[in-house]
Amino acid sequence: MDLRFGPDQERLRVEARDWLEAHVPRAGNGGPLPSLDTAEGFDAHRVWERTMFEARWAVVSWPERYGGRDGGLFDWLVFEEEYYRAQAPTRVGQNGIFLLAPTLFEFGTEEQKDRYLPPMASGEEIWCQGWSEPDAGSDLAAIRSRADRRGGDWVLNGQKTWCSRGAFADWLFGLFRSDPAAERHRGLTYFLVPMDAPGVTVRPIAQLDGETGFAEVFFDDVVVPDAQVLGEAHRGWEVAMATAGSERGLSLRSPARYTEAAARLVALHRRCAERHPVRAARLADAVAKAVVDAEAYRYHTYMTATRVLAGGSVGAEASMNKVFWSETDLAIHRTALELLGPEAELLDDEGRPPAWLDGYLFALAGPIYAGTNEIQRNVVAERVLGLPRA
Amino acid sequence: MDFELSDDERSLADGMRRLCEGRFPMERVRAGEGRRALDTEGWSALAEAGVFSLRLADEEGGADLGTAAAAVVFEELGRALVPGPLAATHAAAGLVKGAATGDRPVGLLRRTPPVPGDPRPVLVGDLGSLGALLVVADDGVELVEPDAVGGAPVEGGLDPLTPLWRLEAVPRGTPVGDGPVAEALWRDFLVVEAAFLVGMAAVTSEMAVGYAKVRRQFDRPIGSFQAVKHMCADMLVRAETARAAVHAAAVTVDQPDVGDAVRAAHGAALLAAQAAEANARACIQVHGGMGFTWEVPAHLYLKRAIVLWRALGPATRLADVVAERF
Ligand SMILES: Cc1cc2nc3c(=O)[nH]c(=O)nc-3n(C[C@H](O)[C@H](O)[C@H](O)COP(=O)(O)OP(=O)(O)OC[C@H]3O[C@@H](n4cnc5c(N)ncnc54)[C@H](O)[C@@H]3O)c2cc1C
Repeated sequence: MDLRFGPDQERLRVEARDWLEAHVPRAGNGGPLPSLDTAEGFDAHRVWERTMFEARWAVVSWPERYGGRDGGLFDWLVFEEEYYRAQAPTRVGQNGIFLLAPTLFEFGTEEQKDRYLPPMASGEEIWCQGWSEPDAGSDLAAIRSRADRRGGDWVLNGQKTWCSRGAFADWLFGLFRSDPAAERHRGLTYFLVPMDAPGVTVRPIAQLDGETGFAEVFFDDVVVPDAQVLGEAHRGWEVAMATAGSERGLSLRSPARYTEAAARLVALHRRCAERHPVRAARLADAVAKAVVDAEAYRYHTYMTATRVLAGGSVGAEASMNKVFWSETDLAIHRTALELLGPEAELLDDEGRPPAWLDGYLFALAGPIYAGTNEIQRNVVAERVLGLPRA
Repeated sequence: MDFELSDDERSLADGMRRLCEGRFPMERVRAGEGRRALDTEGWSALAEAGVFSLRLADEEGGADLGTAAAAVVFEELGRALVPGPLAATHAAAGLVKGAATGDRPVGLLRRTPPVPGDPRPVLVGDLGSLGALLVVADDGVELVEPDAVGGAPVEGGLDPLTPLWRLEAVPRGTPVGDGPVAEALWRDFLVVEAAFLVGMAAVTSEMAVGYAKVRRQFDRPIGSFQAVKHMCADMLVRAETARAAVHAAAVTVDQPDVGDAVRAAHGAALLAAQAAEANARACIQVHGGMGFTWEVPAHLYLKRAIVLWRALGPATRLADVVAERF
């Protein structure tokens, strides 16, 4: 075992750090960007994606021909560490880049990769995901939105819900029932659908944090050609499971997000200790636990990445990650609110919204999205541990 | 020994529930989201029902009822998530003129020892509607005229049903009570606020159970899954144990010979605040994606729990008081 990064990764780290230092929008330099969940903020985040793409930082682990650096998993992890350290903007392209792209690399045709990857990397086309329906959340295989054959094309009808960034996204990827006669996991097909196609209607939904971060999407005779099917028709479940694995496991929530939050929590604790020593002393254990947990998640990820590079794969184990990162995130933010006391609700010195409070509210979604933690615990118990099904 | 509600207390609870259902149905409460002023009509209805005065003697305009009755009433108010400085106004009824009749809504702050060089903003709910602000310290109570404090409205506070104002420091006022008065005031405030929090914890538990019975996934109600069952069962355990602690604290205030009411009040407040927050979170979780929407009121219970808890003092301080008085 060796915990050191190689010289290439250290070089990449320095290069990334310098670039981010010079380019991340900060107060007085075009930043911080307005909320992603507004039209203005969405555009601003799109421009940031473009800036990263031009400097070839948008997708470090992708092949060069699609705008990447041909990097490996550890290069990507190093970049993420620097990205979060720099407190750079939330990736508006995350669903495409971190979830759809790995699936496209695995299941896409050459034409599809050429068509979809470059504009995804540059932020020109932002993706949202369309899995859940009102009656199919945890039980995804119960979806009823249909894909029917008409002429040489597919015609989509039905409704998706909780689509994150659905209000402003350009494209949607998701599952539709293409063969109602087949067993429920079999007759599903994975489609790529432009949000401006005739027959697509979007209705934003207000979240508990007051933002309209997700949306309902209605499909009314939306015509889609075969070229927009990912993987084989009626085999969409397998393709979708690859995407879901990315969401829970290695790619959507890299450990840097939590080690960085834990580091900010420590800084907050230091400031608190100077001014409210009693309060700080009471919360020292919780702060220490946050740091230890975030680091443990990082090391666990290094371990998983090592296995993947050695030819292994991440299967049901991704569910462990998901439980751990979502619950660590909540604990970090709740501790921060305690440290801040009344200041948690106030705008900061520069008049910005209270970041820890916003972070806490969003962290409440962690145990729900990407498959609820109850479902993940079932998966760990049944598929990793081999315990009998109920 | 008879640690059950009496028939009178039960009918008091029923009456209060009916009043809340009529006056404070969830749509009506939610119509006040983002408001800065108190709903004076609703507030007057509560005053008329005796919510603030009920522990005062008949001749003082009260109903001569005990703290246990107050706890029963406040649990109902908490269930309905009624906004406003209810617990503070109730606790101040004997001390501040106009509190018992609801004419002067009262806010309550605790003065902690100042730290040199520490500018410490203080948040006060509903300052714009208050008739008096009480500042409680170990050695006494001071009354501050709200007009004199000049707080700044806070935009975008956590709870859309609790408008906040920011003060740069805890203000000074005129003394209205000594150490023992301060202790009793704070104790009573903790008990009724804890009862309010128990009501919140009970409702979110019922909301979750109700949803778990009707929401179906995998061709069965989600309540048939053990993970969901356990979440719901834990919610009930938290609400019930907190309620027992709150009732015990209330009875101890009324019957000082049975124990240390200050200790009981702090312990009850801690359990009730934990139950209200944890149950609201579990309620969100049981609702899945629906739970994360603005539409489902679970988040309002969570936000209120956090805001109310802040005024009671941090968990460790509540626990310290219990430990010190053991
Ligand atoms: C912020 C946010 C963003 C989201 N973004 C997207 C998106 O972009 N695209 C998309 O398609 N979806 C998205 N979702 C939806 C998310 O995937 C679903 O909410 C989630 O899968 C749960 O489904 P549900 O909401 O229908 O809850 P339900 O499935 O109805 O679950 C309700 C409760 O029952 C429990 N439960 C259900 N089945 C079982 C079981 N077998 N065993 C034990 N417990 C069980 C759940 O754990 C939960 O506590 C998002 C959700 C949130 C909160």
